[in-house]
Amino acid sequence: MTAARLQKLEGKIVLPGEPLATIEEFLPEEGVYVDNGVIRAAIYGKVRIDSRNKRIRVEPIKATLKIPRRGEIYYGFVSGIIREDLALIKLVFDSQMERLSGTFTGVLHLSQASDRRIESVYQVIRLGDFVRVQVVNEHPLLLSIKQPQLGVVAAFCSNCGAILYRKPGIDHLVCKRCGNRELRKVSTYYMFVDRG
Amino acid sequence: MVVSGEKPTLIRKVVRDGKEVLVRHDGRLVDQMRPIRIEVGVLSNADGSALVEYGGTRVIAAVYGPKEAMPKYMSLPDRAILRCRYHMAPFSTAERKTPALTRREVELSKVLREALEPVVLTELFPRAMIDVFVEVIQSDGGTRTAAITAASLALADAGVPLKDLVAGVAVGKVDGVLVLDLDEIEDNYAEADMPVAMAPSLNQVVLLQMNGVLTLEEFHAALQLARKGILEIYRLQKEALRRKYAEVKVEG
Repeated sequence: MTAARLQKLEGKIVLPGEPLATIEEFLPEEGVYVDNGVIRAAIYGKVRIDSRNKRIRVEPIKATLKIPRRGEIYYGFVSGIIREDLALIKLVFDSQMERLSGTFTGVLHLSQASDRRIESVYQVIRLGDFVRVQVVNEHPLLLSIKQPQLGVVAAFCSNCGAILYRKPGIDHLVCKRCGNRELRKVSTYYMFVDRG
Repeated sequence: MVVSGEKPTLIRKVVRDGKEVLVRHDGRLVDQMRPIRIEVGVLSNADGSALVEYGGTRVIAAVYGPKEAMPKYMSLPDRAILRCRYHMAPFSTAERKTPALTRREVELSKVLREALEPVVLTELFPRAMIDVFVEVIQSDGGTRTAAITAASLALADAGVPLKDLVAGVAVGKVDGVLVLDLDEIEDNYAEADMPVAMAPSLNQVVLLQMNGVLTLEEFHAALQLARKGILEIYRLQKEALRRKYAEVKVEG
């Protein structure tokens, strides 16, 4: 590929189906596909070329569409606790808080719900909690909140529905309205901290 | 629609610029399409959307997903499923149409899905589902081709990876003459009607149906005529997508 053609291609706005280069010239990455030896754009966006590593991709204008993959981190709501040892979590945002194109329902098992031995998932989460989870398996979609950064990010009082606050030095979350105390597997990212 | 009464004159010979040409009932030449309007991103709730007008035909397409496949047993282990719904609004025709899906709409939903499946890179989203909704707001012939044009744009707008955009147009034989982009009246009296959709960059036909009778020579000529129209629509599609991008750039 001549330098002039390369310079013309970098940053160019392309539409699906547009031929970009041949597979002899670049390794295709996201946003492109190969048809008959020709690398073509698959989405509308900007062409990005890594000439040192000979990679080509198309950077989308909107956020990239994705589905949960193993190891990735997502945010979601506890949408159901179907058994003492199983909770359903509806994934809504990715780790950058970008909204997903649709919701995906994952399963959280007791064995992945805490770093210590527990009898029931009710000891670590409750219905409606906003949680930060990691995907441990794609199908079935299994989730984990074992690590310190994972777990409940926002929780609500089971008595009155008010926001629960984390108080430094106390294991429980505290409701400021009714004084209720509840246990959760709290993430280090917990949003409401009472330092007063 | 029930065809009744005397057949109107659909093709006339008219002298234009000193030359005798064939003119259709609405003043178009035989190889001329109706005015086309394309807009992308017309709906804010959908992940992607498009509005397409072929003259009096107006359709809106909306795309959701990829998302969790529902019902779950429909999901496929190696790719996403496409779920298409073609629907005509009760007010889209001269007489009220029942809002429920008719046999024709169910069939056209399938036709739409089969026209889109070759271009959507579904293998990137295993076990997921992509929803495509097409609503016909006003019908004046050629709704299925307009629906395909709109649906592919809505998919591109949603950021779903596509091999190519898809554009569609109908060709037909009216009063013994091959014409491009039939409207409702021409469609009702046509000897043949052939909707065609293509992925122009890949030079691939993704939809080909025919109603009526054409000779082999006429069929080849009709396909060439459709191709000419499709390339023009494809150009407008790309223009519409780029226009939307230009707007985004101004905002951000």
